[in-house]
Amino acid sequence: MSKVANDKKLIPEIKKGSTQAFKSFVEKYQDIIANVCIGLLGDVPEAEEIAQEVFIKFYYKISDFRQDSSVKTYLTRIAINLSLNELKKRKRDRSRFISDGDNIKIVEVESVEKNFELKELLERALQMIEPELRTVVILRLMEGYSTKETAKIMRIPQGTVLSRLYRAQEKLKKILKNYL
Amino acid sequence: MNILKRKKENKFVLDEKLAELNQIQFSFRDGFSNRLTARLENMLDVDPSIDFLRGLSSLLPRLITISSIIIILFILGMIVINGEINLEAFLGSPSVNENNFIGYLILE
Repeated sequence: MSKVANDKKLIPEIKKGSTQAFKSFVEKYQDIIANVCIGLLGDVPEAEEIAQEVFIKFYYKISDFRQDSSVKTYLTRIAINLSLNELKKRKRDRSRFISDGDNIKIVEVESVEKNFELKELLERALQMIEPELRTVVILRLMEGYSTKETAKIMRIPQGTVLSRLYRAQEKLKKILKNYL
Repeated sequence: MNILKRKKENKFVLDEKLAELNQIQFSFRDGFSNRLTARLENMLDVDPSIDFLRGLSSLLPRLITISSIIIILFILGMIVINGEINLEAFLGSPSVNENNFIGYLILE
């Protein structure tokens, strides 16, 4: 309840141009955006760059934002869209240098060494599955969104969320099995 | 039997490890909000004249579209009213009509 009240207070302040309110807003949501951007892109400088874009985009579109919808969901959707665009850009850039996409996967799998900390291992395993599966894992398992909410954010049917989640878990188990 | 038991145990361990995904919390380097606020302030702190020109240039395509539509509607209106294109009325010159308009332009 306090979270909603806080947003209701912060957003009009941001609309008035208060950078202090904007800073408070960023501090409130930065961990959620970090989970999405770093989860999807990996712990690379571009993840922070994209996260900054998310908040700046929100700032410039704040007048269009309807207070009745959830800020968290709205920001998450922007973060996913921008991160997936960045992944597409990366893929295009990579394909300029390497014509066979499968080679990349092999290199990535081989680069995983044993004896990682579990957290690091999970992070790396996450980077090895396809972006659409990774997105479902981030939203459903890491962020704790319901299947319905995940479907709404990704604009896909709930059944697709469940099937992607199952495929993602199977793939993650396969990857983890080799390194545990 | 042993293989089955080991498989079952292995599955349990993997499920347990996957369950730890909900404890993963990524975070940015310290000072993320400061860096972002500074970036935004820089973006907002632009020269007002540049801002005006930007606003004007963003309006230009709309102005062109609107004026094109008005001209087309005007021409169509003239055709509907007169049953043909009346250049005299369109150009507002009594010496110009649809028959000698080209000749008039050449002479001029």
